[in-house]
Amino acid sequence: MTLNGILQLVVYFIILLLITRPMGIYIYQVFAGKKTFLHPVLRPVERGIYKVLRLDETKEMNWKVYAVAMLLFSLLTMLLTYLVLRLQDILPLNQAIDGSGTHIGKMPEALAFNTAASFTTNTNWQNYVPEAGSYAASGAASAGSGVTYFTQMTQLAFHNFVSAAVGISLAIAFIRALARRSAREIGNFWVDLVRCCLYILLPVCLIFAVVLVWQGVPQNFNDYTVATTLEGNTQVIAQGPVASQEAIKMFGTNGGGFFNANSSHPFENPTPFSNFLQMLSILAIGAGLTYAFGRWVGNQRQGWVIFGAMAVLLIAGAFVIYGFEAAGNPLVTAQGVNVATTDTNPGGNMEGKEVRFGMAASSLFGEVTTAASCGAVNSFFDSYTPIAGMVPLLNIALGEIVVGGVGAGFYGILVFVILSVFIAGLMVGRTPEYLGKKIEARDMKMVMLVVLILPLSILGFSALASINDIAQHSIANPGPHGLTEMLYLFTSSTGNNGSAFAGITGNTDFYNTLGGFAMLIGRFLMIIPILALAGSLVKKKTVPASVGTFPTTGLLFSGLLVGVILIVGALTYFPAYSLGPIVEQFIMNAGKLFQVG
Amino acid sequence: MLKTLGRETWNSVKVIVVLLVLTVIIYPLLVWGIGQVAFNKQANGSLITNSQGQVIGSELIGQQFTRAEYFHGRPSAVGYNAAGSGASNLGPTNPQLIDGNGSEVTVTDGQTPPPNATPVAGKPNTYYVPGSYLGVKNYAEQFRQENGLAADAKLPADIVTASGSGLDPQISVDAATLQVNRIVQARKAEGGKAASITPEQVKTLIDQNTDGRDLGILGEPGVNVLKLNLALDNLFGAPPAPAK
Repeated sequence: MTLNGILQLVVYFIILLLITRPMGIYIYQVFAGKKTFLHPVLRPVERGIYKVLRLDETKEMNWKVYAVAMLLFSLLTMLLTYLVLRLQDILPLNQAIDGSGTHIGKMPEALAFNTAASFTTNTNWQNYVPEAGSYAASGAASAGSGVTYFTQMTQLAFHNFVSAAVGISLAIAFIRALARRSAREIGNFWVDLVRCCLYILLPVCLIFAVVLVWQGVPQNFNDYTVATTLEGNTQVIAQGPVASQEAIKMFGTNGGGFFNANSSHPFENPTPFSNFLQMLSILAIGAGLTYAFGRWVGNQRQGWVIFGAMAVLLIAGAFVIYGFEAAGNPLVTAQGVNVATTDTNPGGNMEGKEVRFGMAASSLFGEVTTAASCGAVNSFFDSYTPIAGMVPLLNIALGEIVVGGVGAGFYGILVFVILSVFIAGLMVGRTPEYLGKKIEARDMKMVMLVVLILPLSILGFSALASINDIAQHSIANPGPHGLTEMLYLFTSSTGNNGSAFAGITGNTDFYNTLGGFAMLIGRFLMIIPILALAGSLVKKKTVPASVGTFPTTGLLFSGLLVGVILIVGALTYFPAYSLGPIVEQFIMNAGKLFQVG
Repeated sequence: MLKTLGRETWNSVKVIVVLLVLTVIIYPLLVWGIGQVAFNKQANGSLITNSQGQVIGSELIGQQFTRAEYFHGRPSAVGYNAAGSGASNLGPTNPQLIDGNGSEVTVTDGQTPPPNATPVAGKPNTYYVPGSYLGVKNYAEQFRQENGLAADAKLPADIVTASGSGLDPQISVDAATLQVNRIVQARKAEGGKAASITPEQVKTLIDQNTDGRDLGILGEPGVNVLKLNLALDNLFGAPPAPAK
């Protein structure tokens, strides 16, 4: 670790803290129907949309109708994407991917299912190679592994917008349920969705995308460029409308790369400055939601307590990754490699990392992208030192609540808040209450469903994979690292993250199908109990705080919350992790390679 | 319930259409328009063309350099395929990370071994065929050999490891500096404009093509290999085409 490296992390945390309040106020204004500074321009557009759609924006929904609307919307967009993927070869904007006019083919069924599920659920797991050129080069072009500009722009980027908007809408509905008393309605799904896209996602992305173009991210519809290199070889350079997709990929915590190498690709993330903005945009909405929440329930400290617990876990994770990555891999050091970071040598574990980012900016990105449900990467986790690679894995397994994905992270952590309140209530022997609402048996059942679905899917599917021959053949690295690859695949799928220990060959019928289901389970089986919980909470009266009320606004509660999150996570995953990354760290420290046979 | 289903399905369809117009037509075209006008070069991939107007690459995309007259970039798991980016994804205790992903092949007596294959000691008729990734050990050996460095010379971390994108346009300043002597020798031998080349001149070029940290603190400094090699050619002329 260097002073400058630590400074990069500190500056990041400070700026994140600084944008939390303005972001939160703006989010609150948008969803509470208050006037924002963009209203003069956007309010007429919004009104026009409702007029065209014949939607009554004042009519709200109870939790069941809200859930039905959300499910129908998700289902239809998923079907649409599946269709486009299957027909992309004959749809327009199918770019030539080499000099001889090869175009992208249609995507095979299982892969198209996986991809459609992946983008609908805000996961953005990618078993395809977006730019597809490697397949073209080997002569097996149009194997349907790639995607066309049309698919990227009209489907994948579309999901990047709407899956993020769905997540944020759900978080807002949940906040309404906590803030309201003796009510039934939790908001109008269509209004929430439209407002989120119109007031929050689109304006920010427009500015962000233009800044990205300035930094060097392409935005064109050209065929791939065929260049003759300085040494006279041919290099085919993939192009495309990258910037517009890149902005929402980060800001909506989607993470699906326009290119295979994601945000390590110089066209997606050309400079340390663009990298910094990308990291900031990942957590901007998630952090802002904590402030919006405080404002909504009329007590700003309720929001800061949650932000504080998130910040502790976020900062700890970032420094663990940075520390281990900067120390490097002793097996590489033994080859006469200098791992000390200086101005003239990035040092550390550079396998899978870019020179322009180095150790600090790569490690921080790894933490941020898995703390949220983003899953974009600017360095490759599969080549991280084992404990550094375990941090992203654990971040996702905990439910991506360390700030979290847009919306999903926030309703995720509220579930843990309620769990903490419940545990505190058990300890003192009183009925637990949160924000004046009594937490009862039915509510706790919903909370436990949410808490248990994640490990059930992660550990269940990983167990299946580890006894399946085909699944094992997909592993790229031997020994404990291979187990970590499988665990990571199902953790990332269920957690709707989308980052990967990318050595694993996910494009098999086995992983396409099971991974696709894991993503749908992780998204929708999580959302339904959450909405049911919201439906139950919104009905409750609030009781005034008494001396027996456990205060949820102090350091003590923040500490309890962090404790509950870590204990639940540790109890659930420690056995599996000790066979994966933990044992591998010992192997590496002993200076041994994992020899097969 | 059925009524709700029907109504919300129809609402879904309508909202999807409206959001499609906003997010996949208006928004990307707006970015495209602004990008093409305000940042035309970047929006089209920061391409570099030579004096004949041919595209020779992109400033942002690394390319393969093997000739002694040029600075070499980092190892790439995808051979600098700019239409198929990717990392090695080799784990930290994977033997392939150190030794490469090649494989041993056994041939029958009298059969010719595959190209690039080297005999394996102690195993008759067995050859080692290098894979797409040579491993840290071999990358280090190769770099020391090419540049006439001692067998125990310490190397910077970037020059023996594959980048995340496989297209990293940069190397560290150390990795560039260690190549200076080789380049001076190779260029000098060609005479002409390059006869007077000195290590100091080349080091100045490295300085000129080093991108510092953004805003003074973000990221790490790096040398753009393609731009540096172009600067070399500009000053000392392009090396003659290799004999076929």
